[in-house]
Amino acid sequence: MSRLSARRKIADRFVADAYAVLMVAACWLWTTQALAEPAAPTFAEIPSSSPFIDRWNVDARLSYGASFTTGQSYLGIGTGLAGGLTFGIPFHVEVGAMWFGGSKVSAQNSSLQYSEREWSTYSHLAAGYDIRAWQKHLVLRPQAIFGIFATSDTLSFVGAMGNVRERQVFATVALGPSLAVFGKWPGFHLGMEGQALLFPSRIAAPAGILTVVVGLER
Amino acid sequence: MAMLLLLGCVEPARQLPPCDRRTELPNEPRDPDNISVVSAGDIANCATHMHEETAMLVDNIAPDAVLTLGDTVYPNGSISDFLDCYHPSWGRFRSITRAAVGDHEYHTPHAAPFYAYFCSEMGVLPLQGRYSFNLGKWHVVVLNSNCGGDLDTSASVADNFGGCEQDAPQAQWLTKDLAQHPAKCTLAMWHHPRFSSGSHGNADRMAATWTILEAAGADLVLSGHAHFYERFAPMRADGELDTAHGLRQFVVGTGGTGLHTFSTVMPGSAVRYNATYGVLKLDLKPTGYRWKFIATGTTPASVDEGEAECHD
Repeated sequence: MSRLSARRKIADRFVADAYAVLMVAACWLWTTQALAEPAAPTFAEIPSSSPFIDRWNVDARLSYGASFTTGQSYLGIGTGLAGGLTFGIPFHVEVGAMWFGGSKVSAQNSSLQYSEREWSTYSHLAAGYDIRAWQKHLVLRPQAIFGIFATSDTLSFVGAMGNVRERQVFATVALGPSLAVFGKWPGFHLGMEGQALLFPSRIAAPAGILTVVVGLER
Repeated sequence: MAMLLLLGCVEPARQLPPCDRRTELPNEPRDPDNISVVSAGDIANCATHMHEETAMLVDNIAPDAVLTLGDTVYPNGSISDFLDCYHPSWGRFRSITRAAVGDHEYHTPHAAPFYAYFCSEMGVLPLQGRYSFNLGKWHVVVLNSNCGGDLDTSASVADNFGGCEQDAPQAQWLTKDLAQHPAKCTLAMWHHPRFSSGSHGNADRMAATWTILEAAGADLVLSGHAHFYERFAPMRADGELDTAHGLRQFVVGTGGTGLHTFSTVMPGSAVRYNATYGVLKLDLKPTGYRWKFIATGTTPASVDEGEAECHD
């Protein structure tokens, strides 16, 4: 096999993903610019006095991710960190990185041994809007997610016709909505977030991630 | 917790059935001048269990060989899909089965469980999905048609066998293999049909492969992927009818997983059937073949049958 060819195809797929992301972002921006009409703010949405940074936060995350239409999970249990800024508007932006333990499968008979290990890292950018209630003790935060998974696949295939031992790392772009709900106390918050992710290069294999979030904020 | 994260979700090792390292059938055909073969693709789905009905058809036919045409087990071709779903039914023919790899097998990286279940020894190289063998006087080539283009296939694994282009390793291997086995009758099988009247359409990426087979005087192509039965007249790679040199293609995606509707009927499409599941029975004779599509039902019925001579 031409490894160069395979890498080129992966790179091509990545470029195609990035192009799709840009197109979606452009459409979203155009739609929001074209269709958005100013609405009277509700009590919960009344902006703070400043449009600039209102506060920052750092979160620890513990997640469970499931991928659909994939024979071997690259998600499973994961952990990571995220940091965000909330503006007075109150618009929220966030970056984060996670590591998912994935899975390992193996099978064998007297002449053949097969095992495969998958795990992944997940970096994401998110932008959303805080809807506050109960004197800002409860925050509902819908977000748009842009993420990149780097998945490691280690294969060992030992058989009479030859052995294959190889490790690949490949990147896939993910997009999707998330919804987080937080309880807030002075300097501290605790909540849950659900993400539904689609992969432009692999549309039949969406993923979902449910996360417990514990964080500090100032 | 740290250990759990480090190990991930580790499934206990599964026991595979034993491997027979030969690509030839383990037993001589009962009648070398009339070898009975059953073929179907898109087979096992334990959400519906219709593959158990098609397995009963195979039981009744009691063929010398079973040729599976990819998407052997749904949904993802995982090792548990093979061992817990396919194996209890069609698995009883495993020793006489020769299998082509489909796109659903690639839902698991490298389609490795497919190669593990059917024994990598069948392949020229592990995880490549191409090999050949003889059935009596017939030469059979099994090819990999997963050359990208399926949006449900991970970018990491498509084409890792080298692709389907004219200068790809598979095409080079095919040219050499056909030169080394100048049989009067040659059958090729792969998953994605070169021609199809279904919504998946034609697999144009297999045109170069078709051209190589046509030049070598091959006779039959078996494919799945489209979940119905369709028989084509002998065709050239460009889609032109050619009874003298063209290959006759059967699409037999009726092994047991969800039937598809037809869309645009392709030129050369002679028979189409999607009312029930079924299997294609071939009788391979030294200079020709008979075909019969047998559908499931309370009284298994023949939907299409005929015979033809191999090319000179």
